[in-house]
Amino acid sequence: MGDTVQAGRTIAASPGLLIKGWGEETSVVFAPANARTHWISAEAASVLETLTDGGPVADSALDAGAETIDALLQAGLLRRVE
Amino acid sequence: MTTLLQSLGADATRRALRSPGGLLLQMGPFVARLATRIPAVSTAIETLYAAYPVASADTFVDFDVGVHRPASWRHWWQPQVVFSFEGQEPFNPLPGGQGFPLLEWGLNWCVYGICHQYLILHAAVLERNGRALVLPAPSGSGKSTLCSALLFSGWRLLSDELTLICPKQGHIVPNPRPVSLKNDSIDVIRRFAPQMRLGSTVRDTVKGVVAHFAAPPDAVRAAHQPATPGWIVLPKYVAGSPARLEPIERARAFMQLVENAFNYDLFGAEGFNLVGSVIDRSACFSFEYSDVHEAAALFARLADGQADGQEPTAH
Repeated sequence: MGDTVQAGRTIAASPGLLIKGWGEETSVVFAPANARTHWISAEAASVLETLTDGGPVADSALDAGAETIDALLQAGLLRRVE
Repeated sequence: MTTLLQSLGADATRRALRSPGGLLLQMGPFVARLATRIPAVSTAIETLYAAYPVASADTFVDFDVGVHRPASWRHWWQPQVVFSFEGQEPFNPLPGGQGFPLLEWGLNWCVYGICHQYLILHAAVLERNGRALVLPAPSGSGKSTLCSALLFSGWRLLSDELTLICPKQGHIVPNPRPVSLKNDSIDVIRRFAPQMRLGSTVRDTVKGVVAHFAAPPDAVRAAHQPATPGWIVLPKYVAGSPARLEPIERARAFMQLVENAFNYDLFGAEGFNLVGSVIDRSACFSFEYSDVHEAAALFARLADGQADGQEPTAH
């Protein structure tokens, strides 16, 4: 299990993508592209939290929380850098 | 000087309801113009809104609504009622005896369909010691039964159906209105609170047997006093279950608020941050129960800080 998002903290992981966690096993992420909120593992949230390059998810970021990241990719919330 | 509906008297109330200007009632943050010529609906309004302030004629009206007999020959053999909003009739007519429930459902529709100055949740909400207890749940989960038991156990009613969250201050705005009970919960609460003044029982509605009782006058008088989020509890009636309150992850509680929100999508990132701030300030639980006495006792301990649970992460 990766790090959890710090309790009570909202992080902009990429432009407009908001993650909020409470130091628990799950976090929530808001994607303005479709105005939907998703419930994701803190592991995946932690991965998203580390993104600083404007949003695209590098393959190397998929080592942890891959299933959730894939779900976000399929939902069009993130774009994979090949 | 505030005039309460009960001070008008039955005749004046009926005249107002039948007049072109209608009866203007202050319902929490909203003013509704009510109109009806149906005696049973007039009687229910007189009884169940007795403690509400009558608004002055020059007040801004949020909802212009009425319940009427549709203009049809059908009323001679099968009376019906129809809800009107701003002169439009947005719903199909219902059987003639369902006028007051239809008015209440229509008023709810007005609130969640129009009042986007608030984030609106499908949730009962009560207050004790300044903190709000939010009970988000779909119909049939025992939300109104639990809410009713609590309001007769020292909790202040803010709403049995719609939780209004102010985006600016993040507090919860009261909108106390008559409480709707359905089916078996009618007798459950009648036994729990014999002092309850129940209106007419209406059968064969889409929700089964329905009856309303008046919001406590204290709750109506305090309708201008908002409350700070304190607890999010996901209630579920489970036959035979002991009262069981279990902490849940805040992300799960967050998603339940979103699932039960009427207009979350309209707020975008502001809604995300607003729900997040509500969760920050709340302890979050799931709750199963079958006995309202047991439930009321447990929530009293929760309010007094004696029940196991989380502490809010921020204030």
